[in-house]
Amino acid sequence: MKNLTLLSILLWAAASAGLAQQNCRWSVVAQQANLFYSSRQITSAGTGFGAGAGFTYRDWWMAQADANLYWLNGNAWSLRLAIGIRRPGKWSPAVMAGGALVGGARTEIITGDGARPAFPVFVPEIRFAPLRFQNERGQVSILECGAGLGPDKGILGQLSIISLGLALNPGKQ
Amino acid sequence: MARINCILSLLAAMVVLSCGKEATPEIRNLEKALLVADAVEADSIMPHVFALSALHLADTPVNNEGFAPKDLFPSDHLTRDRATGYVAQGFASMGYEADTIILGDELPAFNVVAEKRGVLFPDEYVLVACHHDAFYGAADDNSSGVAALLEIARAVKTFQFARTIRFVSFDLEEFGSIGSTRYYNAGYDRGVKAAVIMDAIGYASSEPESQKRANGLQLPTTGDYLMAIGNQTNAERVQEAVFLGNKAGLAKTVGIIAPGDGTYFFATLFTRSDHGLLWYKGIPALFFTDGANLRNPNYHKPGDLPETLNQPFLIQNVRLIAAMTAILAEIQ
Repeated sequence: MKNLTLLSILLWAAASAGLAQQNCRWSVVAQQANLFYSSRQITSAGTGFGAGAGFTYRDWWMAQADANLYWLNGNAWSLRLAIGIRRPGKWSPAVMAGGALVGGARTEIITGDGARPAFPVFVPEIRFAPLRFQNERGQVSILECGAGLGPDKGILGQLSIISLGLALNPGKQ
Repeated sequence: MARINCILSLLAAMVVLSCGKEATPEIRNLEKALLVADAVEADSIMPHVFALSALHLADTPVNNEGFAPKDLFPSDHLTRDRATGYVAQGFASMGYEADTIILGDELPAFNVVAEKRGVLFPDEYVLVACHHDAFYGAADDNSSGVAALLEIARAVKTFQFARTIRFVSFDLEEFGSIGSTRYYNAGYDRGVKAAVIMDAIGYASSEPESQKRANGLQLPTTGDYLMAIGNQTNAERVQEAVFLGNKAGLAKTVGIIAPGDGTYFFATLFTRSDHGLLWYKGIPALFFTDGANLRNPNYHKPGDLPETLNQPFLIQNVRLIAAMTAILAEIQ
């Protein structure tokens, strides 16, 4: 049932994406990534890299989806999706809201009857990119950070030292 | 609108993926295992702790002069000789054939071993172990573990198990698990299907904030529970220990499942005893502890004396570990 629901949602997402091609500037993104997530039942952390896709729409709107892989506490991963607003121009700081799905290796704390916690865990988050710069060929963002709150008093912290984006259809804004 | 649909759909997919807890697997032979827990005698445990503590205080510290890592592991107040004899004598008095295996030329380790032979798979071993070298009065670390070892050995005596239970009291754990490392590397890890390691299991506090946290773990902050620590290899065993503790009512227990095989950089905290090398070797091992220095203010200090232990807590913990031993050894 869970798989069927998931498949339906993804098909709907793909169909929607197909309709969303107009007036966008698409880019591919690569980034250094660090993650820390801790709740009463799960702790996941590491440092690593990620890649994904972003788009900007007209002057103010933007979105980004990426996948990240982390080391040091086993191989944790995160899938992130966020939409937000940015300042138009070369210096284009941004703020985004969305969610992160954190999975892979983790430390679990088991209480009660011994049931293991649900995992991967979905964490709503807010991200800030104060040092984000862009031109018609792409963008660079330094010290991009994010924070979120998850189930069981979960707290999420993310930091990307540097994120680089290359425009796929340069010139469009 | 299409873009919003797309993004919301993907967020919904993330939420769906994150749903669903994993229940505890059904425990085979639960009723019989609880009989072993019942066989643990409350009055037998603390006398071991008092006796061992007195022996440590009267003993001569280990002479590690000439041993290369001595600067890393100063041996002031670390004793083991009299405790070694006490464990061997304890096994012998119960009718076990106790064997003291001496390993290493430089700073030899004296590991004491006894076995309860399995009736179906005698060449498959469940290792039940602790360490008997200790600092100062050594009540919590680790006379509590040694007392548990001896009492479990006594409690299982009249039961039959499919696998052989091998009781081992390791030496020189405090110098970096030297005794157990030599033991495993000498080939005694062959046939070990599961292991239970006990290190500091007798200190509890009902004071809020008495349990320190480490590595970002949000452990319950009142230090009144036993920790059962495993890795992903034996995650189900951790679940079983927590079930035995909390649902079967043997002892308040919190399980910790380390990531992967438990040997990652951020997880090294969980490898801090004689089970560490077993994890590196891929052998499933459960580690029982009260958290040692993360809870006990007397850790490795002169104040680690029997009076500071929580006796009911220690007794409950021994019962839980005895039941877990019975499950791992497949009680008949």
